[in-house]
Amino acid sequence: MIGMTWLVPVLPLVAYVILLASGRRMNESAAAGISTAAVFVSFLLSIAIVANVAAYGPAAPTVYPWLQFGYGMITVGYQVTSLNALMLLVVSLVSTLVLLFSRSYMRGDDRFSRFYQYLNLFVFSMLGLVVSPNLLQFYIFWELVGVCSYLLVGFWYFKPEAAAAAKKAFIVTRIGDVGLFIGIILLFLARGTFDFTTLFGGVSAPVGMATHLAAPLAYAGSKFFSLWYIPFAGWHAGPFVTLVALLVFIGAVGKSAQFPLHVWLPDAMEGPTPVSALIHAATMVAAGVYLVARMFPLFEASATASETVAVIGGFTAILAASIGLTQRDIKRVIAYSTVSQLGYMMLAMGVGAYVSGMFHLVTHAFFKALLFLAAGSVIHALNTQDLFEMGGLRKYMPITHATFLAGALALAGIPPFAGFWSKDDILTAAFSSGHYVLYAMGLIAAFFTAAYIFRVYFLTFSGAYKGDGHPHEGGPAMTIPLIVLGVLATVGGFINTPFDPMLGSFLQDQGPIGYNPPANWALMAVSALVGLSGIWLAYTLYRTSEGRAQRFAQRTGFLYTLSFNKFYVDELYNLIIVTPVFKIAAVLQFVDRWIIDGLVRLAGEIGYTGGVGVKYSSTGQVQTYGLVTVFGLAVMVLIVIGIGGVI
Amino acid sequence: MALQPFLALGAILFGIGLFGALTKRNLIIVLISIEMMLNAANINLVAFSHFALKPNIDGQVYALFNIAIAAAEVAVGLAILLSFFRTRSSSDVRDVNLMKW
Amino acid sequence: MLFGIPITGETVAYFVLALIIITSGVFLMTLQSVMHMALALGGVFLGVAGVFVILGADFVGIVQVMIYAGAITILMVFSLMLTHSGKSSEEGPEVGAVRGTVTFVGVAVIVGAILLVIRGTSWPVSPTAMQPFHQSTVLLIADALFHTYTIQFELVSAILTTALVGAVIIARKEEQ
Repeated sequence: MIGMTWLVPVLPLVAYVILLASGRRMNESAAAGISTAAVFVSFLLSIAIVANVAAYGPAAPTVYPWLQFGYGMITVGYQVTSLNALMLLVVSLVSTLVLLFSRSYMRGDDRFSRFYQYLNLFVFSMLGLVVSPNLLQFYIFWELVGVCSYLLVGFWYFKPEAAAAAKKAFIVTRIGDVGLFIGIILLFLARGTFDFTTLFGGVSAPVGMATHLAAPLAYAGSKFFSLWYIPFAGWHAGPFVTLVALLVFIGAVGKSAQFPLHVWLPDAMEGPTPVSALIHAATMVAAGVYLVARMFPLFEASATASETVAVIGGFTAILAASIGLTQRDIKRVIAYSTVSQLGYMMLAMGVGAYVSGMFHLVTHAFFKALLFLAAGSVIHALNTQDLFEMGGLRKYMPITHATFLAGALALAGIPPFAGFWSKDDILTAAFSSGHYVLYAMGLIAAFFTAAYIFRVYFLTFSGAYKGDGHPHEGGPAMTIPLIVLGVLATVGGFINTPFDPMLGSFLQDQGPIGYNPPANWALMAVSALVGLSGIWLAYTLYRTSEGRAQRFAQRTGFLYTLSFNKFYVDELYNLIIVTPVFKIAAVLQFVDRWIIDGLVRLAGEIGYTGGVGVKYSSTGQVQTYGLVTVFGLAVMVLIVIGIGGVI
Repeated sequence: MALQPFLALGAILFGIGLFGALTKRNLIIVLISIEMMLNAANINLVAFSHFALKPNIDGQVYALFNIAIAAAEVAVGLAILLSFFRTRSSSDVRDVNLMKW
Repeated sequence: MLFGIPITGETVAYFVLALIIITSGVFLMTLQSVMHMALALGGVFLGVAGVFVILGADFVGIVQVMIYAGAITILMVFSLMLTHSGKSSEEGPEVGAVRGTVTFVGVAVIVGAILLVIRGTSWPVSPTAMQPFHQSTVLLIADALFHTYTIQFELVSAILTTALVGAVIIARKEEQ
């Protein structure tokens, strides 16, 4: 069964090729059907693979040689560990549901088949990323995923906001990718290989990892950098490991939209809602967390890097949650929620709670995709995304209402829903490992989380409908994924409760990884209370008398403005980075157009003008030509006589 | 008789013909001048045939060929000239300017 | 002996003929009427025929008279008449002064160089300089033409045929 792992990414690729080849000839149902079927088969295979890994443990990677250069060999192939298998399962499940949902959501779109092509390409890239056995293949698929995100966010390219958002997403993640690539190269220089198993092979204890990596890194670094006269040669082992870990983390920051590279994710909501559900909730942004998890021994070896990861995660969590409190667009609220929850995952990884982080990744995939799809159902019905034009949809869209409520409860961390177990794990880990400040930040962010998601719930589903459309439930293609995800959001947490940590034992089948905090009932109660108080705040502001929210906003004045304007991060970037770059570009454009191109055109003009000048000599008069010939001959004769003959 | 006077005569006749070919305005006079140049060449040929180290008839044979070719060239040249004259109604050399820029 | 040159019949004949040729050539260049120019041309050709006879190439001389002085001169006159060149409707000077001078200088330099070379080269003298041929030149020419230069002869006849046909076609009036 493991030998068929390569099929899992390849099936969506086949679907992509089929759709690409048939172009517009294929009708909507066929395109959607083929794609969904392909990914569904991948999902079934993933279940089999997970069962196989649970029973027999991870398999050795299957690799095929690709490029040989000097002493190094680059391979491609696939590898199945418990982490990979889990990711395969989650990605293929959410992808199947989103593909099914899109059948109804994108109905009637002019480029329906194209949308499914891009989705298939994305699923292929994501699955390929997950099973990569070495860093280079991982990076290739990482970039592919970024490209698919660009294509999908900018799907409605004729909208200038969508095109700009796609560019922004790609460029901002690119900044992260540069860091990641440098980190990969440094690792290669130190260890001479890209393979995950060889990089971390045989050494699991953090201290051992540090020396395992660091000494050859330092040696290679000193040799490499001394060539370029960069003064790293005198560094010791420790800083090198930290440097590599931080560089790798920069890649994760970009892809998972952590501060300071979080700015692309809210704007990426310009893409169709299924895209947001798949890419910006469950899969692509989780790739950053997956990267940190895959490179966990590296982060364990460097305390500084781990602290950085945790701090950035925690800060992002509270920052994004506070912005989400005031946004008007339903998708933006959920987008900031994604950023915030990713912060939680990074926080978990940073304090060493590997299992907690992955657990939250899984549950988050379920309830966030659910929230996005439910929002998509609402948007599809009402044709608006503004929260203040919604209301009272409980009557009209019961299924959407029920599933959204389930997702919201999961997100807010109310037991027994899925989010409670995973988020609580993370908070417990932060508290128990001594990171009290981070714990506090996480707790406040949890309060905000509950508040903003129930703000959305009350504004959308309660009260009276203020708009003028006729809301209705979407077809089964929309409701089935909602129901499935709703169930998962409700019961998904039970795969890793403190009573029966199935996921933990599944992931740590080769031995304990990271820090597994013991259950702390007091903290669990605190988390639940905080979630409930957030819901109470939202209820008070939006469900009781009218205008209470506005008065509250006015009373908080300055804070409200900061939050509503996203803490002016975008404006700051515009000022510091974008404007100078454009100015430099203007200068360079001048140089290119007038100096470089000017030289080229000058050469042409010289030829042309010279020709114009010379053309008057071709008069067409043969006698003139003959005269010139004779005269020239005479001159030559004189010269020859003058120099005494040419023999 | 020596050889040089005949060669000198040929050279001078050639020069006169060259001058005429480059200067005259009437196309037919240009053709005439070209004929003069050919005649000068013939004089040279026959002179060499007469004064050669081993006298041979080849120079005269070549001169005969030259005369034949010159006659052919005159015929065709005049035919072209007549055709040109019909189109342009001018036999002025300066009107033969189709290769002008 | 006059000026160190032995005065024989051939010498005198040579000088007279040279005078005729060059005078006719100069007349050709300087006369105003083209008809006069054509007549001067005839003079040049006859002079050249005489030179051939002096050089013992009697056959070539007769051919020169027949073809050049006869056919080609008449051909030129016909063409001049056909292109209305008889009327002096030339506007402007025959040749610009600058152009004429430049051409004259150029040609003079070339001719002068040739003359210098002729004077400076030591031409080998054959012992039988005065009577090179023991047979009639016609026989010699016939022998050479049909034995040694057969292919060239055939080619020349082909050229003549082509030129004949070509000239007829080119000069034909176009059918309307």
